[in-house]
Amino acid sequence: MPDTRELTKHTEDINELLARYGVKFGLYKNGVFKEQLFPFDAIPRVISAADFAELERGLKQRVMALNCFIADIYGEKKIIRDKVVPEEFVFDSPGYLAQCEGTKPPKGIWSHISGIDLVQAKDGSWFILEDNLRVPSGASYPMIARELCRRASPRTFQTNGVAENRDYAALLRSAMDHVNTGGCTVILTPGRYNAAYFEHSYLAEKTGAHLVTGSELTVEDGFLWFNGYDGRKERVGTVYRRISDDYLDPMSFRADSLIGIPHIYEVFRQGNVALMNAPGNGVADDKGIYYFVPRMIKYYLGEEPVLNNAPTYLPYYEKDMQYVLEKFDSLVLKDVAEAGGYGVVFGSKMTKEQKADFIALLRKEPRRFIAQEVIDFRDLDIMENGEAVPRKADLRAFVLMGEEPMVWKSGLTRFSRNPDSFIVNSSQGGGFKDTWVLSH
Amino acid sequence: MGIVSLTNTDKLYWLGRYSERVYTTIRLFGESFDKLIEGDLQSIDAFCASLNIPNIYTSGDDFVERYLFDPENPDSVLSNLTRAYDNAMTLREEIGSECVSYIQLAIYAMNSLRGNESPMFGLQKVIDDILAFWGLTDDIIPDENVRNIIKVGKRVERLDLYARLKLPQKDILREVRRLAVRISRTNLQYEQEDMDKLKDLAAAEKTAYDEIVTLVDGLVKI
Amino acid sequence: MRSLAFSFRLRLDFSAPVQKHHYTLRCLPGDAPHQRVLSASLRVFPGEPANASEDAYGRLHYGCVFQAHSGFEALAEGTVCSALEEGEMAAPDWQLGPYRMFTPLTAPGEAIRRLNASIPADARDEELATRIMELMHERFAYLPGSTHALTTGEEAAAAMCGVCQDESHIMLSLLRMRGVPCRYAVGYMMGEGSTHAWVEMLRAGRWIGLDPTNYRAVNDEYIRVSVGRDAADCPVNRGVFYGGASQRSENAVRVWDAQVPDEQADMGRKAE
Repeated sequence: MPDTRELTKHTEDINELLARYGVKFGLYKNGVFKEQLFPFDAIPRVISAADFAELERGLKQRVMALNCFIADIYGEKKIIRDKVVPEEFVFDSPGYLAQCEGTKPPKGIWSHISGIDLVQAKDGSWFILEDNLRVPSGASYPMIARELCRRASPRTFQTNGVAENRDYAALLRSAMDHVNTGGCTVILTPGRYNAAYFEHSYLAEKTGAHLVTGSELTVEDGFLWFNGYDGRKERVGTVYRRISDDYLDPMSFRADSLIGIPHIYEVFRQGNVALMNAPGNGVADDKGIYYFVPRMIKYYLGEEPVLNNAPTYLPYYEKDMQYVLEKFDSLVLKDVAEAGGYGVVFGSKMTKEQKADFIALLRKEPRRFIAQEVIDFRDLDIMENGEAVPRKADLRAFVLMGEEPMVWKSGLTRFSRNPDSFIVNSSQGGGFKDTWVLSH
Repeated sequence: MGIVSLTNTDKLYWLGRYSERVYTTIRLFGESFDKLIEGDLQSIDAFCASLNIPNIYTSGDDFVERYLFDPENPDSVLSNLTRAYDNAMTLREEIGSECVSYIQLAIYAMNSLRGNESPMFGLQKVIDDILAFWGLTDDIIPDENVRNIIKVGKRVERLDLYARLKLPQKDILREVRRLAVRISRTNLQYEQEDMDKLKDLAAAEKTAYDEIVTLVDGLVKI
Repeated sequence: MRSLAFSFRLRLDFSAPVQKHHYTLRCLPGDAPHQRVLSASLRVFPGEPANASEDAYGRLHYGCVFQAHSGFEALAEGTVCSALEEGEMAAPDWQLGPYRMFTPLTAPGEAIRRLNASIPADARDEELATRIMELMHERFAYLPGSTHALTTGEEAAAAMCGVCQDESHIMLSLLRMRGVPCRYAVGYMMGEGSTHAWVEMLRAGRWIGLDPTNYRAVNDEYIRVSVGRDAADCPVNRGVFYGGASQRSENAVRVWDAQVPDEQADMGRKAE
């Protein structure tokens, strides 16, 4: 393990600098918007070059397969024909958008930025927890943290060969340019009251894109335009949108959206602008579909999956239901419709009554839940009151799709500050670490 | 010159105005604060009257607390600084993280001052941050138009405040001239006629302060 | 085969002027194996001609009226050769998943389950269609104004009254309960009236049109404009605008036998 004592000495200074640069996330508490600092722990997660090579291979493979799946679902649907995925897991999923049927996004790319959540078990093996193919966030945090860590302790980076991670903006820009249909590049934000607004503005600064809200873009003559104050306007070729599908276009999706751009989806469908990520990706990152991803890899790529899912059971299948009922106390159950650490319950933590109620619900709506073995995480040390203490942590790896899939040589490591909690989400009080990929 | 949206043009302009408002009102506050040491409560009246804001303050301490720090008081320094911050943080890609950070630092400095017995020391830190912010915007923002929109906001606000405070004619005249030069280097829409009228008013024998305030407030059309 | 002429007129009245009014209109029929469009045109007032496009549900036109206006009108006209074959050939069964799933408007509740219970469990295909149509014909009251655009099939089934949209939703729900792929169709019908809706169910690899409202099979007097999973997929008009106004909408449709020049009729026959 690299020596990081020199660096961790500066934890407080680094957090101060993060505050200075406004590295925050927004949050609604009792209906009131608040900005909160994202606590940073300076002990990095360290991934060896060999370990990362394996991850990289697995992540590329997974994202390639997921892209094939989305294209297939909104196109030919061969995977349904070949009975690899039951159709009710697809067309009945809230992430499936019938409007996207027949749509062909520029260069055939659906998931340009994929955030894949992993955990490492005690024995060092990695498990995929979740795929995020809609608007995954978090890359900006380790990016700016690295910048500040290097300022804090240059020697640490002299003695340890750590792969650069501030190139995320360049990777993102190349993914943006790859699908550009001619015109400028914008990042579309719902506005400053979005949880990830810092990230939107930071990525705009670092990629040289315009940061816009819906009101600055209009559809005219079948194209999308960025409107200037002085009446000049410029065609838009790429929209990196950080607005969810539902709110993107009131003419195609939710009609009551006030932050979307009317007819932007029509322009996209006609190939006159690239939307990254493409609308409709939710069909592939549903917690129910997750179960089938290893099968997708075999189906579309003819390869064995390099990275494993956490052992998962679908109560939809009677065999799995039996297993879930038998081993209920050792499993974690997840509501497929929820995200952000919500809708997750541990069998062992339920009272007798809660358990009975839950099983009744499970029997009634088996399609709504998945069950997973509780993985024995490898905890990561964090500094607390000058002492290193172990905490649960996960890793969000980022895969960007350009000409080829590119895996960012870093990632967002989130940890739970509560020693008894498995939930690492920032919205529930978690903190973050830098993720080092060693260059040797 | 790159395309700047209507929203961002508006924010750049108001970022300039609010940063100036914080800067100048802190300096004015310092003068009143000095007089309060002898218990001169009339100085609060005079201060409020000169800025044309309501005197809602019940005592010297109340004035210090609420004029500086009350987020509910729309005229407080904190409220004006928060408005500057609201604009700055949504302009990161136009002006850069470094520029934004100084407004952020001013907010932290302001908040850390509460309850402090010698607020003027801390307020100096806020002023330092704003001066650093201005210096940096001038230094690192590559787009001349973007840079100058902030400056026009600053000049408009200063002229507005100086006219309200009825500062001597030479100060007014200098600010009008600086504004005239600056605004011509932006794509901001304004009537040349208004600018000429401002020059005339400032040069006239008897300075028509109220007319200047009205004219300068409505000068830029966003 | 039959040549039909149609006209469709949509009129929107706003209680106060609106601006930046974006609209999507689905009012021109498209070519399909069972119908061929000989001519079709769309005009909108005010504003520039709309942009033409096509998606999974059919042809569409979209545009925006930027300036303030308090009325909007769309006028569509054309001629179509109808009933070129009995039912459109459907895509392979494995591609029809979306049409087997319940949607919020077609999800069954108690009322629809009760209706389902009165249809023999083993009824299939034509018999199933007939039984559902009979049931609706006997029990469902056509009562304009008793429902609205967002009324679900279940709500309509509980009251057993409504319009063609509601009857179609109930029928879709009943068919999907038995795993039969089916679609919601919008179009025009012979005579004078407004837009109409009916159901297409899959039978022997073809989409067979059934009109529960008129208690008959869809024939050469129907022009199909769009198809979706339910009414929410393919409304004739969808719009958003700026301005605090309420909107009143009405449409008028007329379909009649067309006098088609020989040359065009030939084109229709070739397609046959």
